[in-house]
Amino acid sequence: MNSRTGFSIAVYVVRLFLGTLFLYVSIDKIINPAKFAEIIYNYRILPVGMLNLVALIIPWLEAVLGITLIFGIWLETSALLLSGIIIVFIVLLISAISRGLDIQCGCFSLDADGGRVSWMRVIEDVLMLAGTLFIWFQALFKKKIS
Amino acid sequence: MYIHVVKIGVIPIVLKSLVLISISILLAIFFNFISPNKISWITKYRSISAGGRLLKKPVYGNQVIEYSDISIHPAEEINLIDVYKLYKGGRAIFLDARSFEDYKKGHIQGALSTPSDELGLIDSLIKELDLSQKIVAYCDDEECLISIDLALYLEEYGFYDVYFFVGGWSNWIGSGYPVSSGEKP
Repeated sequence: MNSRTGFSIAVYVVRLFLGTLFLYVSIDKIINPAKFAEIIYNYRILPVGMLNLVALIIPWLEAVLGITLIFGIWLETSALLLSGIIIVFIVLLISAISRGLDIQCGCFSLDADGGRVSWMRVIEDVLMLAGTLFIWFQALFKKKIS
Repeated sequence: MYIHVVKIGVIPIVLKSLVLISISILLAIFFNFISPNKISWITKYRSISAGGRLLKKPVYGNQVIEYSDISIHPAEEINLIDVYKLYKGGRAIFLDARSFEDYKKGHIQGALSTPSDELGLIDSLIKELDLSQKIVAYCDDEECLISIDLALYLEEYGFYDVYFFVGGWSNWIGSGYPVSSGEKP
């Protein structure tokens, strides 16, 4: 196995992992939009009137981007969009932590014991961001050599 | 020396992003239309006056409560003077929404600890109470909103004589009213 094959496998594994993760976490939010909206409300950043709009669209965006990552569709765009979403999540988390809010994260699960806002959540998001940026760079590089 | 410039097609990326976002929006519209858990696209909210500010609290589900009797009222703010009258009257239950650690350091004498993140504890307590029970929820001070959340939670449960004391613990202790510390009320 040469280094290029190894690299391709690594990219594929990251794509599959992140794609499945985003698809998985979107399901609970799609099924329970009201619960997700309440979690967003607790961050106390968005105007109240917009909560439902965001709670309805973001999970579907996560699901669609999860699918495009898994099947390798428009990788450059998907990875870039996901990176943008993750950066927004990171900013929200840091803002909540800096304001001392002890609230439910809503990151992976909507359950009350599904994890609260903490630096650990920020680290997880930074790792995911590294993954999506890795996929983006790889897609750019592939485009360049083709 | 060669410098490799990777051309990023900005316009295709923007177009493809718009396509992906549009697909997500269409799926959201369709699924929200057929879902049993559908919600309105514009959030319905209730305006609540607290600490001189007007807060907007989103309303979900079938939480429309009809108030026809003047002794029945939605959860509302109460000031220090009135809260002390209720305290002296001895009929109201005081619920401390802060963490148990803060409660142990000091709380309104007789208040029960109901940390806002322990819904199980709150649920088991309110099951023992009559819905007509007069309740005052409080937390730290004007900056803290969990007493309002607790009061609204109780209201949604069916309690109809609930107040939130926005001045909270800092206002109470600043006035020299009775306090306790430790795990017991």
